[in-house]
Amino acid sequence: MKPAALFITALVLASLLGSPGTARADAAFGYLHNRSGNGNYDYLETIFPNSFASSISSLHDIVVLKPGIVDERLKKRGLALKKSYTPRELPKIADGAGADFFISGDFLPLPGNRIEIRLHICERKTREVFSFVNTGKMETEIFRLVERISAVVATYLRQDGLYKTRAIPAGTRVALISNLSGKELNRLYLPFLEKGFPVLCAQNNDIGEIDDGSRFSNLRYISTRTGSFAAPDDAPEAHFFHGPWNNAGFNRQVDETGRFFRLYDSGYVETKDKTLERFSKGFRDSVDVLLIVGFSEDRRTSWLRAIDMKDRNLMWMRSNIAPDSRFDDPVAAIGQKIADSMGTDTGPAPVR
Amino acid sequence: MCAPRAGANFMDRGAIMLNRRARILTICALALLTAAVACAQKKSVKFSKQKVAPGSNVVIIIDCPTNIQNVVLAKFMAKDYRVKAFNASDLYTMKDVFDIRDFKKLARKSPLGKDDLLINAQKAHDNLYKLSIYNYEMQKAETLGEMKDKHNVRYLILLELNDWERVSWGRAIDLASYELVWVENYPTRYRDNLESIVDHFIDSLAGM
Repeated sequence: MKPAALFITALVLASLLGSPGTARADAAFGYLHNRSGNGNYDYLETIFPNSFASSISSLHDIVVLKPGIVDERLKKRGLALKKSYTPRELPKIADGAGADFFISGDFLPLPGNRIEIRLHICERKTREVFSFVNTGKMETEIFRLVERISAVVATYLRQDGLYKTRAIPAGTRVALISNLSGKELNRLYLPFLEKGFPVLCAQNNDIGEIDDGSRFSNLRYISTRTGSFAAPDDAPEAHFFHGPWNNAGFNRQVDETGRFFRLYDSGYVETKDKTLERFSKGFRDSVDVLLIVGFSEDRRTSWLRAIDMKDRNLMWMRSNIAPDSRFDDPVAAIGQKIADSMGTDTGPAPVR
Repeated sequence: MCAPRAGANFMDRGAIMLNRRARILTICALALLTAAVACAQKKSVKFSKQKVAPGSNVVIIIDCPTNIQNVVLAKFMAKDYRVKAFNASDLYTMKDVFDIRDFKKLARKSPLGKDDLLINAQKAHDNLYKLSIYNYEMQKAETLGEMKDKHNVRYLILLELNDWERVSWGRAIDLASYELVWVENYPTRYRDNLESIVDHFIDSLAGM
């Protein structure tokens, strides 16, 4: 009884004083599909994933499974490793591969001896997919490109979904949207103002809160041309019969429904780009970075997404930001962590 | 014969004591944590990038009954601020007039997402929600631009006044640059009243 009682007390104190830790992740690689249709580049479909896997394993100390092993594992489950997958198929393949993350993608050779590589990283536990695009030179600089992309992948895997394309120096004009309001919002703004970031009046002219229940967390999912983070939906693809037998009223309804889904689903990136362009004009082109920060209900964890308003691309993404101490005001501590890491290339230090 | 039993009783009593101590220690730790976080959240916060001096053209938004609004506005006017009529001279409330531009809060409902839809519209609906946030902020920015251009307002000041043991807060936005130029969280003191809090905020805004 005596050790048990002491153990329980120690456990409670440790959980109060400590912070949540992160486990080491492992990653399985699929192929990279050749989007060009030119068979001369097909050999890269296997070379790229093997190179990424080797680089990530040796330079970043992450356990990796190369496509050959993944294919064997999938075959044991009655599946086969395909060259490309739709986002919806990725969680199932990640389950079959049995690693924490499943990574696949595609590439497209571009004029001027350049190549565009797009990777999709699917986390098995959350079934969420992070995709990003990186472009570099072929041949002599291909190893540099492999190392650069490997570093992006390793950072994402090891540091709670961290992705950052560049540092954000003091003086950058930031429009901040969050699910905080009133005095809490002031506590979030303070570290940014003190660090010399002009904070623009997106949201901060609200008396009431922007939070609409749990809906704000939808902003965790983001789609831009060079980076996106999404949860593939399970909705089946619907095929509608449509032709001369339909009357005009029905055709009109189908057209309107189709337009809705083009705007807000299949063509969402274009729609959002136009909206952000109007957003930028609304602020008379004074916004450099749109920073979206979402807090959990108890304010103890947070996530952030940053969009570069010059090209409307995802420039910074991070999940699970938490204060180092449970005695701190979580909003102020998280705001301080984010403001401190604005100017670095890698973002806030991971929670340990 | 009795010695082991007495020893066992002593052990049981010891365990109960220890359990009680462990419980007290745990409760104290939890109370300490709660108090520490509560205190941290009530700490005063202040940042001023530029002075909002008397004589400036300002709009004041404050969410309280009209008679209290009048007290607040009168205080600003007494200190020589040029207070523009926004929600100051209305016989109706902002709620009656404004919809999406009401500076209040986001609230929208849509019939989409009903279970009886043929296809799953959840993703499109979620995307529509995200766009509505961007649109809302953009329309507010446009309205603020109009405020500056058409009504010659320089600063938008937001205030929320709260009772003792709570935190009153304020913010000021320079409409020339859309920048936040002043923020303050002021833990309301026992001896404070409406007028003393407003006086405090006015002094803080003016950099006094």
